[in-house]
Amino acid sequence: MSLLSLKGVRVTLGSREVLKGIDLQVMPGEVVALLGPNGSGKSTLLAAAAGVGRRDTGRVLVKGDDLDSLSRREVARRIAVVPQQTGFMMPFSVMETVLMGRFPLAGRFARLSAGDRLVAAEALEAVDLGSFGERLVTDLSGGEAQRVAIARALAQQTDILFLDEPVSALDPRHAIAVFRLLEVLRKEGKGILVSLHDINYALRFADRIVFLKDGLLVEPPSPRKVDEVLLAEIFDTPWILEELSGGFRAAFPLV
Amino acid sequence: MKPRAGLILSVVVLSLLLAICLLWVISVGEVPIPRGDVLGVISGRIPSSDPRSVIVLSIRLPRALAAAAAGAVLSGSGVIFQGVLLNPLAEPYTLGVATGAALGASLAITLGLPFVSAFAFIGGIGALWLVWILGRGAGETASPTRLILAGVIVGSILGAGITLIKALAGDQVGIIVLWLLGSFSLSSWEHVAWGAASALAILVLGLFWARDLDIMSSGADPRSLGVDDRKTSGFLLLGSSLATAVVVSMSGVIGFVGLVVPHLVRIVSGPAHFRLLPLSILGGALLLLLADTAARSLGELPVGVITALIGGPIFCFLLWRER
Repeated sequence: MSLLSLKGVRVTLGSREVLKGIDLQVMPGEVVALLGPNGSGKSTLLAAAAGVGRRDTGRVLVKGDDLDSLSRREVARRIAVVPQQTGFMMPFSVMETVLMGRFPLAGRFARLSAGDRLVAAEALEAVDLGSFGERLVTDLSGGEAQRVAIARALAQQTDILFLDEPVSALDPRHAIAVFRLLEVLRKEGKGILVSLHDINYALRFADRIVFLKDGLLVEPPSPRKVDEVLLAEIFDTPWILEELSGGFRAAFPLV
Repeated sequence: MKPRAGLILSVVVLSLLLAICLLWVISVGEVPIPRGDVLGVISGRIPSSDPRSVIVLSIRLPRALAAAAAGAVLSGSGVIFQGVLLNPLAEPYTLGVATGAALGASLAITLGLPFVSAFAFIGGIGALWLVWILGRGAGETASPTRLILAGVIVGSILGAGITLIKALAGDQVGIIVLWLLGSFSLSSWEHVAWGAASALAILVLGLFWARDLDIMSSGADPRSLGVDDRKTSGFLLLGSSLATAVVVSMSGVIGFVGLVVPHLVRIVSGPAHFRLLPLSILGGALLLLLADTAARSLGELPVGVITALIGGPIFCFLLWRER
């Protein structure tokens, strides 16, 4: 059974129909990369699928249940979202921030347990911030803050993970570390939907690549089938796709 | 130290400090009353017919308690506004809520209507709603700068309305002016009861939603962490506006308490609301109690002048520090 299933999702923002009927399934143990030009609606799609953004028509099934029938809390126990902007403003510590990922699972007044703290500490280790627990989120660099947001999502221990351009503020080493982490999570059977700007990360790490173009999804039969023609069509600019040694491929926009 | 132990210790220390200040504040005044006698009156050792008893029980104690309760409410509301609106500058005063409440109350006083608090509430909520609509702009959430700008603009329009009412008020103008400047000189036990109930309401409301407030103020999308933000922020904003309106309708507009106290407390307690809120409530009570005593000792100055004179520079310092 698919973890996440979108059926005919349409979203109109202002006078523009951004999503014109999106069908998408995410299976357990699958990393699905979502790509498209700026303004193509990647964030809108993630927000609609997570139930935090607008959705005019269409259904979203989360582990078989209609999103609209689930409480916010229940949704947060099933889907964790890493936002594009962390928006940290108040001087919470890194640990306090990651522990917020445990709030949907804890009772309103129940104290967070040692187990919760362990999960949070492990989540911080996973994003290479194990020693950052006492630092204030307002003192972090953009890349560190983004990894804190990822750790907070991991602490939610959901089966479904959405990441909205999670590596845009990260240097290559930390970006690759995030994808290695996604590989681990995939092995645990989680379903991951990640929007990306860089096609090369998608070619290297994704099980499936879906493109958003003019409000509709375009999906090649497999990432291997992504070619220069398809990329040119999606991004309205010519591309070169090179075969590298070891079976890797790299794509460059032609300048 | 464990966070909870630290919190309990801080609450105990602040409460003791508040009690000591209360005792001291009641003993000073035009007729000095030794602190032992104050305790004697409160414990019933001094008969109620004694003039000291009358001064303490009918004048100074209700005034001191009303001031403390008002300070608690304004400071607690500041914490909640700042948390919900994700805006460190939000408080009843900067958001125009206090001015709206003052307009509603001035109108009620001028027209000789009953339920001044109800009018204050309507005015306060109306102002908050306007500021929210204006401040929200195109996005789903209000941008901090827009919100404060909207608060300033709505506040000055409402302020002009108050001036207009004053000009037209005739004989009532004296009452309105005294009341607008903020004063506890007319406090009664009824005021104490309302103020205390409002402060308690803020505390309960804020602690019940402490984790939601943490999430909302952290800058995360609250919904993706399981917070029903519309419902939660609705309850919190309405509740704290109502409590503010109750206080404004009793003691007029008193600025800066809701801004300065939470900021100072946050330096010590951090931004987590289960610590920040109780400590800010106690801190606000302490500040306004002392400010009112200063106002009283300086020949019945409006207390709003004292809070602005103390709070303004502190706030300037905080702004400078955070450059």
